[in-house]
Amino acid sequence: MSKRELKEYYKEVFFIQPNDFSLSFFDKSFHKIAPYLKKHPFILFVPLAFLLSLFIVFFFGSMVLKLVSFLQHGV
Amino acid sequence: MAYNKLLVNSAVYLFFCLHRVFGLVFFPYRTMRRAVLYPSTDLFYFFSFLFFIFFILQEKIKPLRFSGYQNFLIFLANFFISCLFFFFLLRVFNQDLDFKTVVSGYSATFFPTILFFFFNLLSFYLFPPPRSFSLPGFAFSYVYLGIVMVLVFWKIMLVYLFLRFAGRIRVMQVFFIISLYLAVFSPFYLGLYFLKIIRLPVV
Repeated sequence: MSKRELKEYYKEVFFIQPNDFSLSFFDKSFHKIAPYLKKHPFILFVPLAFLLSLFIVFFFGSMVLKLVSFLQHGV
Repeated sequence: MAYNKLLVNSAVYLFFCLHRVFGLVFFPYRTMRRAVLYPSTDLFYFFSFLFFIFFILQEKIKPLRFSGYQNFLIFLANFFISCLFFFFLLRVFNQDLDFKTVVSGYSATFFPTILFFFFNLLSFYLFPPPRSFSLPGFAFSYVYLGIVMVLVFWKIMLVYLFLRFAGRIRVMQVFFIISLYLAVFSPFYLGLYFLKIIRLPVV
């Protein structure tokens, strides 16, 4: 990478200030999760979504059937 | 000669769009940053074309109040109204923002939406509702809900990235803008649903 390209790249990467929650707990948690979301987020999304939907099906039972029918009627 | 040029241009354009779509799947952060920093309307045309195909197919499978062409026009109007909404709100935080950046960034967030639409259409065609109180009914509901949730998480992340980069704002401001958008536009989407115009939220 040439010096000019490197300069452009840094300009692109640092054009925005880092997030600040003003609360150290949130800051730490957010900075731990963020790298997983920046690249290949589906590694995190797929298990999370299916676990959450298992939880919903288990606890809400028949309401889920109604919700899915409602969403499918959306076509 | 002109035909060859058109063919080559189309192939290059398609390759460019697919490259960006690939980026949205595997490197969403970098792709959204570039969509905002180097705005272009290519993804807007690409996704508009896919939405157009969707509305035509939908008309064949389940006719609604209006035809596919009219629904497509409603979708376009809705898209530009949403863009204007975000443009005026984000201009408060970022004075240098232009409308093309908003169109470029916001259209990039429409990939999960179009996937959800096609998935819904396919599931409606193959397994028409209503679902029954049986094991296959629950199994289908579980898989359907899981896939929809993956798409929703992805959509929220892309919208978050778009707002953060376009407005150069922090996470709390982003969620404030998303809440405001939902508060303003939810009645509109509910109206579209109950009037049987477009029955899926085109967000």
